[in-house]
Amino acid sequence: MLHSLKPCEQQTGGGFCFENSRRNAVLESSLSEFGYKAPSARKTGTTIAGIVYKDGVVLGADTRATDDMVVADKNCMKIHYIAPKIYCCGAGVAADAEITTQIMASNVELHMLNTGRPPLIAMVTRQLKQMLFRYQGHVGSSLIVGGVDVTGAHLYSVFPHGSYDKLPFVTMGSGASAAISVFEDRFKPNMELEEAKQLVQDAIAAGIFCDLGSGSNVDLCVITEAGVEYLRGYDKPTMKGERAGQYRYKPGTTAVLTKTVTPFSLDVVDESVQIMDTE
Amino acid sequence: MSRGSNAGFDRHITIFSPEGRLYQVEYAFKAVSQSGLTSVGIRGTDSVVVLTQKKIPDKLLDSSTVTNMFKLTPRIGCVMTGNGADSRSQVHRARVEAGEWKYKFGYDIMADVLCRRLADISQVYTQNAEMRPLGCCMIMVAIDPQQGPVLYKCDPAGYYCGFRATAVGAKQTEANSYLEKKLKKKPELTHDRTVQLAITCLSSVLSSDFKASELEIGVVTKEKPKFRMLSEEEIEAHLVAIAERE
Repeated sequence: MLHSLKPCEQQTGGGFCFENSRRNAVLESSLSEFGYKAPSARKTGTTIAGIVYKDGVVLGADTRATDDMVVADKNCMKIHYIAPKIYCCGAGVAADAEITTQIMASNVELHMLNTGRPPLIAMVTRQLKQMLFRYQGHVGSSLIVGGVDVTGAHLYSVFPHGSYDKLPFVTMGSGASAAISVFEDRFKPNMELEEAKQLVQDAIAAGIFCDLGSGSNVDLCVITEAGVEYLRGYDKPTMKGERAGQYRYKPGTTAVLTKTVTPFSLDVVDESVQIMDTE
Repeated sequence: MSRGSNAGFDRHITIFSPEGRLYQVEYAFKAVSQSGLTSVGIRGTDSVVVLTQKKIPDKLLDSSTVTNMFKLTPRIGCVMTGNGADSRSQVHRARVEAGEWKYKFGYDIMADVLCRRLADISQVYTQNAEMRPLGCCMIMVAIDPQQGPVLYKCDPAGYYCGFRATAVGAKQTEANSYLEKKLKKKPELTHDRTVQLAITCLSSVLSSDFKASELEIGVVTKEKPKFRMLSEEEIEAHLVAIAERE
């Protein structure tokens, strides 16, 4: 087996080196000899994003759920409830994201009853990452946890293997690169509400248009000290437009030049009766 | 009375007596007074103070190694009254619970939650036949980030409660009535007044004046929410202030 990690030697005359392509081709052929297929990259398909603005956080998500290359759900909900003022966007395997957030919501509810106080986002993140690390990345959910608690507005992104980042703006999912480019360009600390909503909407729209795994509508969730505003279907950038006029051709547009009629004489060759089973 | 039905074991292990009492738990309370010490805790407007006697029975004892005040977390402190070994066991368990909470949830445990947890553990001992209740009582103090100064006590029966002021130990009845009288009018208690009230309570109940080396005082204040013990000089300053007022 060609398991060489040496950097490939440049051929004389410069240009690209295709040493590894040759190695891959040999590997593919030797694998198929034994009946195995080389593993293909699996797209997860989502764009989720969140930012911290002046009064709280704004979370955003697209609404397409994919089954490999087929759209399984055109309008699914990717922003999940965890606590009255804590919501979580989930990317990755849909079932994993859904169940993980439900487990977190239960734990948070029990914790609230035990302490008699509203929960902290740091606590949600801590439990999430400990659970995901325990499963060593096999629970394939990337999550953005955001909300408001007694210490203020916070935003965390948690990766399937259990690492997390605490940042003022985060994106996850296959459309993350498209969305983060919008944030990197236009994010400012302490933005106003309308500016913040517009920014998140544009970031998700970038994911919807530039990533195959993301599409349909933009959902937003605005969380402040006062409460939560869940804006389902805030923007529908991929909605079909209205046709401006009728584009059917009127009968008689195409002139008939000649007309020929040829009758077929058909004889009955065979006749058979089949009774249908109507029970 | 059906004296024979329990074969007299209701006094030996924690099962109900025919009158519905748990004798072992009541004996545990007696054990708390056994040590002969009394502790007092008072909650002021922006501070909480716990105070206990420091008796050195043996002249060869190194007094700096003897203490009944313990730090459970950087911000939660406690004073233990009763059996010394049981006290240390409960303090250790409290520290473990607080540490696990910090690890699992990512933030410091709150005093009332910790107290409830210890009370639940103490309750288990009142039900299990194979374990006796602990013969010690914990008074816990902290500055809660939302509720401000808090004072909690948890006892061998598994009962816990928040207090404005409380006393535990040999002279607890007298000390409690003294505190009730003093706090009846709900006075504004600054930090210094709180410390001095605790000292006067103990000295009046025990009918003796204290030296600075005979007292242990632990405080938490809003300016300095970390639990700390007062040094001998600070205690001396309070004793002088009390003497000057009289």
